Amino acid sequence: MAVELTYFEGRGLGESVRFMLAATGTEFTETFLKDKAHMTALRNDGDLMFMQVPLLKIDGLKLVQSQAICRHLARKHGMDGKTPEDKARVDMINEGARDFLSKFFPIGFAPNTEAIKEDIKNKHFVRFLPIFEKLLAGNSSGYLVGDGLTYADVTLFEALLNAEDNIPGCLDKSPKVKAFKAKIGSLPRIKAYLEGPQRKPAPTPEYVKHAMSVLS
Amino acid sequence: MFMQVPLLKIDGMKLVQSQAICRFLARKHGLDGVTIEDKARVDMINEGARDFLSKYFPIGFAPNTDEVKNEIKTKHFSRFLPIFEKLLTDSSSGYLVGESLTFADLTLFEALLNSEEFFPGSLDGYPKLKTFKTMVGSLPRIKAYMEGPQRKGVPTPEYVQHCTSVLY
Repeated sequence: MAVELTYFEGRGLGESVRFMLAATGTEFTETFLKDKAHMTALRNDGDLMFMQVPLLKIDGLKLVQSQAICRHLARKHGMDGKTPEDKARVDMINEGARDFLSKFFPIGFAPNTEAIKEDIKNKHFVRFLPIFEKLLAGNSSGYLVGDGLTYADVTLFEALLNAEDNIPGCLDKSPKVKAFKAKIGSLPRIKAYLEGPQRKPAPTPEYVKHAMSVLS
Repeated sequence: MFMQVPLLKIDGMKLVQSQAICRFLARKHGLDGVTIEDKARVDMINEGARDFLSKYFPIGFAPNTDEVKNEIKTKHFSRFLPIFEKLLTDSSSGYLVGESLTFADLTLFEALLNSEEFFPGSLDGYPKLKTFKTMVGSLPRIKAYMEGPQRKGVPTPEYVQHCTSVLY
């Protein structure tokens, strides 16, 4: 059965889902939001439980809420931690990584992009990078929890891509984090996704304008 | 781990991030859905219920509490209540997913307590939600908690001031 993602033709909250689909080896097609009428039709169709995208049609389910979607994919493919303790750690660390990732979402959308980047540089890097550096230093496998890739690794990786994209060199003082980014980025499925056609670019002004008009 | 509370020490772990803590407790006690599909539905519905619950968090803390309350009344109720009313209508068990209590029910219940507390009568047009709130509230463990000494009060100005002084 085909797996179908409905979202904007851009990163946003959908990109986390795309990364998890890639990491789990799940092929998927995409429906991009065309305009406000398209959004209205989707809302009226009843597929969007909370009237929001992303929407992932998979396994007979119509899933919304990007984090619930990611955790479903993780559970299905054993990427959510092995033991109950590991599952708790993965969940907790993912929440923190998600907090960090979310600092990048307003870039391009909020009017004060430079102020946001300054905040990230002066406040959020200082707050978050040492925590992840310590977590990675404490685990010999190079992953955040246990011996294999979990959804927490995928979230942190996405945040680090954003970090390097917006503030090049920001990871230079965090060697474990830097090595982690290289490691995850070279996993075959992740590498193929990053180099492939479904990876979306950073938001352009045109993309932002379009997204705002769809949601207005 | 992330320099924030709540912190729960349990089973040899030091857990932070309230939602991760809740999901751990749910998994441990089978309150997270039975099938893999149910687990996905519980997770998804909990996220939405959590969105709704979070609208109440600024009350007492944000300077413009009346505006916050007004937005809940004029925007968030009409956005969220019909969705949960429909989910409960489609469920024969009276719970949001499956046949028994899940962590999604608890999140919604907490949100509805806030609704009734700040806006008495706000659930009057939503019979299923009203029934749900009564049902969950009368479950022995929930009832005992609500009536017991560990249930906390709504934020007072003194409490808000204390929190602010601790965090900043």
